[in-house]
Amino acid sequence: MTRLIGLVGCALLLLSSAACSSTPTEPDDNRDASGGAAGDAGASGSGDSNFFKCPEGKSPKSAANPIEVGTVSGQIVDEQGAPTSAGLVQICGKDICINARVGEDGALAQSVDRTLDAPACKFGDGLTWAKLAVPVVAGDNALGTLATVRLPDFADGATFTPGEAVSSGGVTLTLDPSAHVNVDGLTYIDESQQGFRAVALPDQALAELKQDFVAAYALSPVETRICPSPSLSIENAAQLAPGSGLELYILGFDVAEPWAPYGAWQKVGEGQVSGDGKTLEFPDGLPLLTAIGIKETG
Amino acid sequence: MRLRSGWLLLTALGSSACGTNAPEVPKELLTSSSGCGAPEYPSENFGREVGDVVENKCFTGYRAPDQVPPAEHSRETIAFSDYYDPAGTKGVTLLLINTAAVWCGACVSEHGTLPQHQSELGPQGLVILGTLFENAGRDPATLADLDRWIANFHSNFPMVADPHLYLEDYASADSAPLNMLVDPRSMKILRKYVGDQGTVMWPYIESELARRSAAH
Repeated sequence: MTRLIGLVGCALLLLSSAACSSTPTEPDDNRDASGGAAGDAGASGSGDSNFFKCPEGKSPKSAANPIEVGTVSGQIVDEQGAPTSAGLVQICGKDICINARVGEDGALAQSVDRTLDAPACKFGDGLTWAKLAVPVVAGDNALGTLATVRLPDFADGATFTPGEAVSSGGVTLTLDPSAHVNVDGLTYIDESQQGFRAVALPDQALAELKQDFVAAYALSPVETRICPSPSLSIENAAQLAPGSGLELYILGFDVAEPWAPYGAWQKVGEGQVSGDGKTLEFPDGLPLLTAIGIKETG
Repeated sequence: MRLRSGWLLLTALGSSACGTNAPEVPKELLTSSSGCGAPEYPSENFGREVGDVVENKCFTGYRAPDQVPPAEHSRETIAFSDYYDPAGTKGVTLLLINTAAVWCGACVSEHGTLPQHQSELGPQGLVILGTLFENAGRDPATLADLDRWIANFHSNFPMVADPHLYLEDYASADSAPLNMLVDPRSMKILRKYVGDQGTVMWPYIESELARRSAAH
């Protein structure tokens, strides 16, 4: 019996030894692997063969802007002013991304000391926290206080359904009956995370953006692409005058910049305050879920 | 790592079962820090910079994910040594080791283009070996993360998970991506590119492939 066990053990050992050999079983497979279709740029998508990929935006890619960045410092706080790490703080250019060290006290002090292409400081993970960004300039950057805000819980996310409206945090998207929704399945890995969530940015966060927005919201799942673009309606919390003209801006997080420059704001549409003054209406729609800002044009 | 654990279990089982009559297990199989042995692999001059030899490391992933769809049963043990080709018999002319993380926008953008490069340059002997080391929350990449990544980008080259951050030996895991070009004849580092420097890197790769083809 002992001998039998021994023989089995030896066989297993030899088998596993062969299995773990560093010699590739079919080395040429690696070369034969070429010829597959090019992958989809960007993080949206799915392995599902029935997956429909929405067309990308045609915003021209911004010119390379490499700058030497020194130290980036700041203080990350939540909507109550309490320190937070916001889940993730990064100093990223279009060419490289650096995870910043943020202490439990919310203090950001990241020595970059390298050249980055069009860098921005991104804060908030887009999962628990609103994802936002501010530009980073050459040299040292003292960004001051960066306020983010907690997104609604995943459980409160509203399911996207073609032909229906979906609402969260005072923001309503109305999907076309033929709408396709492409969620970033790498970041939002299961359906429980893929519902629509929105939150208004508090005044401090609004001021930090330095964009003269009368209102701004963080939407999630970040970089969700919906086609055709859903119409957008927002509660008029800012109490803008009925009939006032509006402009809609989105914040770019995609290095490929299909809709907006990386780490910067891009106007994507116009709208107006409804006649009854209850909502801000953008009938041309919102092509991409990200942070959005609204300017009043009078 | 599942396969590594399995190997250790089998080694332990075999060792205890065979007793004094056990076959002599090659030393490198027992002592390799990565869990994979490669007797023929270079054993010296390891280092992290250009001109140094990359130390052999072993991962779990997929050798040809476009041919064998990612699934638990099709996961393989893949080592740098698989692409060590001192005599040119494997057809590997250049090895490009790439790191990526889900949180890294530049990596996401870069992987949108890598399959096209592999398609164009694979026939000339380029092998891209992609390593995914962290997910969106900065947690170590799981094999499920790897499966999603491959499905998203339709990767057509070897892709592995690197939850142990083996590639951090060559560049901080706090910054990504890293592209490291390795000579498969010697496993020496030819170039290191921290960040997506495609405008510099791809012309170099193309010229190096052409030069090696002409020399051959």
